[in-house]
Amino acid sequence: MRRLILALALVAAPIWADSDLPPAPLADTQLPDPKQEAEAQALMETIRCLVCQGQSIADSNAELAGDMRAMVRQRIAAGEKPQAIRAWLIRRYGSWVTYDPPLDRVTWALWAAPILFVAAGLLVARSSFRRRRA
Amino acid sequence: MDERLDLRCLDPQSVLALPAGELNGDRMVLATRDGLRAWTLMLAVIAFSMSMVGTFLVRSGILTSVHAFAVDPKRGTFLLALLFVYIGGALALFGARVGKVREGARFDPVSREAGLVANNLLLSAILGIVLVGTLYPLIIEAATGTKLSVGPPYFDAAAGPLALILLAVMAAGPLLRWRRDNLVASLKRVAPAAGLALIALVAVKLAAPSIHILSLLGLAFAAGLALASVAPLWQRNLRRTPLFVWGMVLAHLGVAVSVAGMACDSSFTVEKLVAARVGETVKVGPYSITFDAVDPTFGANWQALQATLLARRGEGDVLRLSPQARTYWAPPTETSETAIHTALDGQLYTVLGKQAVDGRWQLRLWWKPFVTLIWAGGALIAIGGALALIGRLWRARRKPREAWL
Amino acid sequence: MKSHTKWAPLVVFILLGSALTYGLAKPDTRNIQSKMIGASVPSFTLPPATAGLPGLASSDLATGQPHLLNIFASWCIPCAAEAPQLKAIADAGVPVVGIAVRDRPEALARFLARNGNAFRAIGADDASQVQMAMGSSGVPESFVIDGKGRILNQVIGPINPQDVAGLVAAVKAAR
Repeated sequence: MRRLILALALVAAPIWADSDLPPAPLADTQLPDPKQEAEAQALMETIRCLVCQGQSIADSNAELAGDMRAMVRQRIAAGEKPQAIRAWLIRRYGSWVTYDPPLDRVTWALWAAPILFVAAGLLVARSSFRRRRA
Repeated sequence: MDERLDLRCLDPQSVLALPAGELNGDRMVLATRDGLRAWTLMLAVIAFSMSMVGTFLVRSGILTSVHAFAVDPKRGTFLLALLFVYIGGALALFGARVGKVREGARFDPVSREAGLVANNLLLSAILGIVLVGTLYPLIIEAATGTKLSVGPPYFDAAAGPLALILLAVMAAGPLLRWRRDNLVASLKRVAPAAGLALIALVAVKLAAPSIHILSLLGLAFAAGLALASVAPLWQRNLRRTPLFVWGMVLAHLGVAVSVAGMACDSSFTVEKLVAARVGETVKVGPYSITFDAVDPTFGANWQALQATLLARRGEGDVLRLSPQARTYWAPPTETSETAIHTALDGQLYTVLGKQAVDGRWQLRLWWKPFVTLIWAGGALIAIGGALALIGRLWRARRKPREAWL
Repeated sequence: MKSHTKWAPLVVFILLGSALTYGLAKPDTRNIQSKMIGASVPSFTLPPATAGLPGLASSDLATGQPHLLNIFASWCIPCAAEAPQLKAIADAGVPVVGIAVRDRPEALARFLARNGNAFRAIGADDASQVQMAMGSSGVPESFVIDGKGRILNQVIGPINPQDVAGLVAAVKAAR
């Protein structure tokens, strides 16, 4: 079996196991309405590519990323809100697919961190200050 | 592919830059006022620690990132062991011996020292945010098994406001007196810069109504900071101004310029995706780009399709740009070589994509106005730092310093 | 400096170091599990992917008969490797249906001729829409679907020979 796979790998026409279908229509075409395109672009920059090493679907050349871009543009053109599309993707792939972590039980510490750091810093810095005489 | 340089692009490796900045400010306080000694010591340790952490992050493969250039757990383990020894040792030593460092002079909440403390605080908080954001997915996966991604939306929302406050502190700081200052008087000194920031805010909002709030505030604060950074030179005999003042002016001005560049790049970048036939012309930003030809070409271990694009700005010269779609054969990899043209006021990026069934070629074109300000600002900061350093060394030669350990 | 302040950096570093050590020690899994496990198959209707076999609709999966749904493509090399396992599963009496992602009818016909055809129906998913709706992120992936159209289980990657018996049992147990 291993030999068969190796042989297949050598003769398979695209050496990098890609389909040879063209990209979906809206994968690499901007929407005609600039406001909608800007909305779509903003959303695409925060959706993670599922098959890449840490890229958004806006930046990725992968085919699945192209299909996801096409889906995003198609839905935005149909009037769907970016938040709804993001929620649809999170429902299917979990929070991993969005670069904007939701605020829930698991991520509250992440979102509280900036405030905690500033507060901790203020406490530490207080000792450097001289007390002002009233 | 292209690197997007904007306010919303923070990287794990960037953790190492921040403590160095704080250290610079602190050295000044130490040199002039003897305050903040323990802070300075700790920042020195943290600066080195962060550079080691950054090395570890990109080499060990624990983070999936386009910026990680090796997945080598063996090297990662070695680096981790080094980390524990060096940093653990240094911090343990710090904890044990910092009590011996003689306390410096104290200062008022409204004073230049306080400004520097605020500067340290904010930069440390930003450092903390970058570390937390980078490592949180790892920690959560360890604790609960849930997979998370943390990216630009988090870093923007968390570090962005702090960075803006930092700009304000940077603007006010040099205008405050050492040790103790009068609040009302200091507000009066800061007023012109604040006024300029407000004018810039209104002007930019009117010119670009759909601009993102972070970029809008970035531009406004940068304008205010630019004015405030040259304020210390006001009514001063410029030839007798000490070098370190020039250094401070240039460094702060550089920060304002860089931030303005980042804000412009985030908000005013124009992107065009076209499926073009050879011979067609596309407009992007101020440039008209004619798709002249696509030719095969090759190199030592690759072959490529190279597009020839002729870019023209108004009546200017015709520029030749040659983006390539490359195929390396061992190992089989497809890459894209971007063709970039840098003008004084921005950059033109061009990328060649695939050919569609109808014979048209996919072209991605960007015009990034004022992105060059980011590097110009960086150069100013570097020059400012160098001047400040030279100024200090000059001074130190003349005055012997008391030991503080 | 107060005691809690001067030891704080060391404590923070030890926590940081522990996180980094964990990161290095944990196995590297890049697989994204579908979160649709336990939910109903999203509604879809796909045209036939190749001549001779019908297309696939979500209603076909809710007829009371459990299925093994295989998401694959002719250009996917591990899919060729798992073809014998799919044949074994089909021969054991399990209905196997497929969704071909981004495929051409002729290429698919050649693939089935070369590797065997275990499928009762194959739907053509040219833009990965149904693949995304199922929460699948690559090929090949297989889903165990019960008689009511609910997704019970997901197998990411090709099916290994040793997993065939387990999958057959899982599908047969799902009613």
